[in-house]
Amino acid sequence: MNTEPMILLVEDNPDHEVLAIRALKKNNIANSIAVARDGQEALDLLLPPPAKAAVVPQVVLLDLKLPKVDGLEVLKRLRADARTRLLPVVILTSSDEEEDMIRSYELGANSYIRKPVDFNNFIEATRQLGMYWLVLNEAPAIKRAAR
Amino acid sequence: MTLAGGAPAASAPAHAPIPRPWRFGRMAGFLYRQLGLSMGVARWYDYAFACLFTLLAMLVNYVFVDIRQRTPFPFFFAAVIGSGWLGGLWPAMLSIALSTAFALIYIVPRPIDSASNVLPVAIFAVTSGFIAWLSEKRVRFETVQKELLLREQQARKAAADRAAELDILNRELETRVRQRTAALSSMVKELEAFSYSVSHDLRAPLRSLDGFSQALLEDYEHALDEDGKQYLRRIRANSQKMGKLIDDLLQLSRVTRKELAHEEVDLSELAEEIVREWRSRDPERQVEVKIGPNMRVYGDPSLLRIALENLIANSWKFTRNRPHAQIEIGMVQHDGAPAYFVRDNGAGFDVRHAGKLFTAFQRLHHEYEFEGTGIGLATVQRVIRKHGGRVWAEGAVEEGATFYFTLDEKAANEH
Repeated sequence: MNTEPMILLVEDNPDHEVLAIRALKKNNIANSIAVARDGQEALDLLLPPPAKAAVVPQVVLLDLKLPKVDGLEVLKRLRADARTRLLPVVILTSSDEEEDMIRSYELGANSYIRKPVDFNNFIEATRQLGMYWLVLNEAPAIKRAAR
Repeated sequence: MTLAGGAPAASAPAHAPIPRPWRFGRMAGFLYRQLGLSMGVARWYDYAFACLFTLLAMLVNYVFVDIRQRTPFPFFFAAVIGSGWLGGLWPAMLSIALSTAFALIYIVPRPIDSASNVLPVAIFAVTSGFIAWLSEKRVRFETVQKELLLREQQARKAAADRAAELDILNRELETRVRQRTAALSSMVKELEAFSYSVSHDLRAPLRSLDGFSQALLEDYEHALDEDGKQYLRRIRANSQKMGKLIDDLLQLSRVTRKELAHEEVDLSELAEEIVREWRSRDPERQVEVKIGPNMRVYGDPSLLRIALENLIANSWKFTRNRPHAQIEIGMVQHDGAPAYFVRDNGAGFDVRHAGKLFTAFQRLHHEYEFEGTGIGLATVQRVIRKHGGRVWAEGAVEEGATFYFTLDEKAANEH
């Protein structure tokens, strides 16, 4: 169980992946990050075929604009599956369109964060994110036990 | 008889006057009008029938009636009534004339020696005259009625034609409206897709620029001299500025696209909230803020917030160099309607350039004095215009600025 990543980052932009990991590292939560580079990959990790073991992070950081399967679709499928129905999902995106926000919450996102341009702000946002979702937040543990 | 009638009524053009019948001539017409009558409506065959009827009556009188025992006039009356019924006054008059002549010539005993001989003829003439006059009224009435009926039919047909035409036009219009609406909504969709992609994609490279510059500053601090670090800081400042520019542009386009809501908005409360945010963002600044109480308006809460945020942000920014910065948000009466204002004692502006204030990307201050994108006031203007109001500014260099705006609350209410 210790090898289980605490955070699954779904991010298609390699720059942002590097920066996000850097920001997480700065906040000492970099040791357990899994990265999916598109929506399909995220779904394969979280909802694999029965033979394979699923990755169960404590929180998923989900971008909206993704190749293959976009973020909202990923969220929809996660919420439709019993295994990931209660998994905390934080939308982490460049968009601040109200429409995106509303759709995300409608589909059951736990939080919606807009990536700031200022990297220092981003580090701060990441710190709070890690603090909140990995330390403060209590999520139901049934998912881990179920496997 | 050369009595040509008027054109047959049935074939008359739609709005032709009631056909004028045969004329006796100017004198007869004159007399006729003097008698309070007008020209009849008889046609040539009406006169022909009048002759025929009268001749028939003469024949019957001549052959069958024993004129010494019975009066001959019932048959003549019948002829007059028949002629009048068909042709009105003048055929009846013709019938009377012929009958009277016949009676005078053949029936009245000669020599005409007593009034009792002529009296029945006179009575006949007068009575028949009255019958003729009545006939004229009847025929005229009927003719007019027919004409009216015809006109009504024509009018109905014209109305139906017009309705059909209108219907076609309407349908064309509907099609056109549908096409335009489709074109417009596809344009709006395109615009939305555009700003969506701006929001997502344009900011992404900026984040990389800023992030990696920061990474360089942190991880390679030892390898960089002060100039190098300065350059990196400039890259970061510019990425952030561009990020702000994109955000402001998006806000401007969103203000345009957004459908106007209309609710009660408490501007005082809104202003207080915004000022509170600024105080926590900029805790080292000492700004004296006065806010007028109970400024309640009708409008779109989110748009009015955007407008007020921009105005207060400006005041906050331009009072930066004042030892006693003051901002006042309040209401005055302007041309009989409330005008709301945001006033400060900041850097102000040159009135000569006031016209440029509300144009996007136009700035009246240098970047090194006061940073900015030049979009804020353009956004304010759009918000206010959407509310049917007006925005204007007063101020002078180094003497502060006041931005006024009005809202057409009635329009917002009815909207």
